[in-house]
Amino acid sequence: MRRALAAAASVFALAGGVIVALVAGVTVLSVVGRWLIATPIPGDVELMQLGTASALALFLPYCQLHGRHLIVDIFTVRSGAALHRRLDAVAHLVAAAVLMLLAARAAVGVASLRAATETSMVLGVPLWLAYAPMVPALVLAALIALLGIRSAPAEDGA
Amino acid sequence: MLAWGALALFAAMLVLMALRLPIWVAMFVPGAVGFAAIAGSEALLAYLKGIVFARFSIYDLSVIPLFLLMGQLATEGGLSRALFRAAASFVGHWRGGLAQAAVLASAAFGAVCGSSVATAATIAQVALPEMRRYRYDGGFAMAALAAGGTLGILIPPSVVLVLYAIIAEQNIAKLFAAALVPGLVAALFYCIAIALLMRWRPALGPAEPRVPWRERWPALAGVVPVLMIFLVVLGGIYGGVFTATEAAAIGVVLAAVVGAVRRQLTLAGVKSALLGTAEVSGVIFMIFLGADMLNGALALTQMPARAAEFVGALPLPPLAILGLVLLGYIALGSVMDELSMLLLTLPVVFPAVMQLDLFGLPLEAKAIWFGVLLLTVVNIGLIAPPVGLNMYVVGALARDIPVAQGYRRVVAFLAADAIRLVVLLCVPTLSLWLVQFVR
Repeated sequence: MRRALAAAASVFALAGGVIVALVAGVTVLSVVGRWLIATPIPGDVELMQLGTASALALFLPYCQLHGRHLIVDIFTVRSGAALHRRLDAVAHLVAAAVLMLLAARAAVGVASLRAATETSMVLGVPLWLAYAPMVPALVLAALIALLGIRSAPAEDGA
Repeated sequence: MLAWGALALFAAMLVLMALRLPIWVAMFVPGAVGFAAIAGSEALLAYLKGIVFARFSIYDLSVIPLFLLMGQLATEGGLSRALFRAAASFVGHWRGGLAQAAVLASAAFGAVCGSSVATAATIAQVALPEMRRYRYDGGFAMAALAAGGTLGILIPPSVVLVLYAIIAEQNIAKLFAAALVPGLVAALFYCIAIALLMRWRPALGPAEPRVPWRERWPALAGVVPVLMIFLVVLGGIYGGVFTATEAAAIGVVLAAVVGAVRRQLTLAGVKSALLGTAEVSGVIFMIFLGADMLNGALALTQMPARAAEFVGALPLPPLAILGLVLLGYIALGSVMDELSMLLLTLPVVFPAVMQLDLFGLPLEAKAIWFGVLLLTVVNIGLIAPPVGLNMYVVGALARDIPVAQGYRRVVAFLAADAIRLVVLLCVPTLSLWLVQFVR
């Protein structure tokens, strides 16, 4: 279970990374096109916008998995490891609850966009498609938080 | 009544942070609760429906993952090693020279990387083994690498400046131009600090043998790709040839091409660059989301407007107020991560500072200059105890060096930072001179 979720998080993150690299490539082609033949690729700006937004959402589970969300530990630096574990368990639970709430609301957002058949300005991409990766990504991040999965032992302050 | 509400929200955030909640959650939860208390839970649910996508799909913010990816690809392509080798071949034979080489290499790497943590980590990876070989004092090596790493956000591109530009609604190109000279001043001051420290404690950084000139020139050639990427990316932004986002995209492609041509960028390297970008971007954007939720609630309490009125009415000279604001940031930065601190406080502090009369500067110049000053404050927070993030980043690569030892040696670098802050505060021209050339 843990391994499957961790693998899924890496796949999501890599997919997001590939999207970022692709929109970067499209943008470069567009700049070159504008420069050489005075014709940029139509919709390059919205591709960048929608692409990064879905990529960023896809990054979240991986981020949660690696437990590198910044925490402040100067107040608890002298308290014992047992207390740390208990506090961190609570922290994971709260994070999971917030992520679940966001996932549920994002799902409502996607549904209403789909019902409204809103599309992007230039290319006419249905907007809900760009929104959609957010929902599984947030759910996966919430699950990872819920199970308190860490890829490596927690590092204080790092 | 509402002003007390704002204070309660802020206090709740600090308590949650002290309980080791991730910072973004510690900001998000009080924000959401406060928002629901003031505007009703219906309004909160409606707000949450679009918040994630709305915050993630801001066009100007897309430069952040792009600049991060560019820096990661440059690391995987071996550019940081080439930079350090070149710098070390010129100054390594001085006492403390490897530390100065690390600072110079960080400054150069900062020109293709927008993150201080990434710069500290990548230069530390190549410089630490060398510093160990010549028996550098561990704490001193850590301090130099952590301080050098802060040049990653000072020398443009800079993730912090991008976020500042968006919150303060300023031109990214102009901010990038403004930070360049202060960034070079910072590198110079760090090198001077190392030289002075060496006079006092020469044993901290033994010299390595002199590198003959016929070996120096080939080493210097390793700097060329970085210089080329920097000139294309930043030159394009400054000259108005393309937008910051386009420039960042070009930077990603150039960094990948350079890595491939040097035959250092492997498929595994690309994969780890993508994952590294995912991790750091995710952290930044969740903090952005959390700060946004709390700010949404704070705005409802009208606290930002009140705070601006309050600061404007203080019976102090404007420059003294600005100094106090910066000192306040240094204090807050010692308990909070610097990025969250800026995202959280800028909506309140920025309008307040903008209404001060500072050297009679026009509004835009004032905003740009303030951005550079904030960047310096962030630098201090990144290396100062008790939670200097960069110190921990270097510490994670050198487990045998206790961070406390690093903090003892970082004092020299903090002194250099403090002097730089005062100089930048007294001489706005240092930050603003280059801005006039931006188109």
